[in-house]
Amino acid sequence: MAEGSNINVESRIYEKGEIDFSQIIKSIKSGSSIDDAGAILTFTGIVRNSSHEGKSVESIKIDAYDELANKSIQKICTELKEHQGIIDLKIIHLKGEFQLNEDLVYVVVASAHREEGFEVLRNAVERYKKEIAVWKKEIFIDGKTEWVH
Amino acid sequence: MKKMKIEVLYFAELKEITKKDKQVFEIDKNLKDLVANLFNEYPNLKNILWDFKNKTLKSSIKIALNDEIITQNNIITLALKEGDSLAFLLPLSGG
Repeated sequence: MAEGSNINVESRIYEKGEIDFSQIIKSIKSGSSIDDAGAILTFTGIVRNSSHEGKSVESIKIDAYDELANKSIQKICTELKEHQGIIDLKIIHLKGEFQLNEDLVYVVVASAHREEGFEVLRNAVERYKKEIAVWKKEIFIDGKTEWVH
Repeated sequence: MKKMKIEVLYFAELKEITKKDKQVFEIDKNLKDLVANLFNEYPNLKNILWDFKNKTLKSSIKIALNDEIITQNNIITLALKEGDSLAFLLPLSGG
């Protein structure tokens, strides 16, 4: 993307490599109401080296039902942006194959003050985990695999 | 009776088991017929989707019809029409 170009990052599912964190921040900062914001809060979900059951994870794969997931992401964003003091909110979930430490999901909130920003950030994270049509497969170091449910 | 074409979208395990992203089935009328066709072609899917005791889909499986999640009682009797697109959704697990 050319330097200084108009950046508008949509909240939706992206292929891994299609977007990076700095583009999301630039998009938030180019929003029409950003002058009202006093804080940008961010959550980045990354690949951990162990499963919930304690098995050693080597990599993971994310599959998504894009059309349905994008609708749910839009719904979450629309509803949470109605909260007092929330200037902007973006949820970006990646899909594809990921190694340890690689980014899987970004939630970014711009708020007038930190209190409402933290509350909505947490709320957005809890909701995307439950509501969007995305599935995660863990590939363990012993070669076995398991879809997480 | 004329058969109707229903497109089934596969995600996660279902994509791996069927080795397909999507597939068209020709069925008579409802989800029950579709599921029978699906299990006939992929017997392994039955263990993932079917509640053998209650003879219906597992309660953890959601149905998306034309990109909308359907909530109705006795989902197995869901009426379908020519050109519908349907997906069986396993419990979600975002990153």
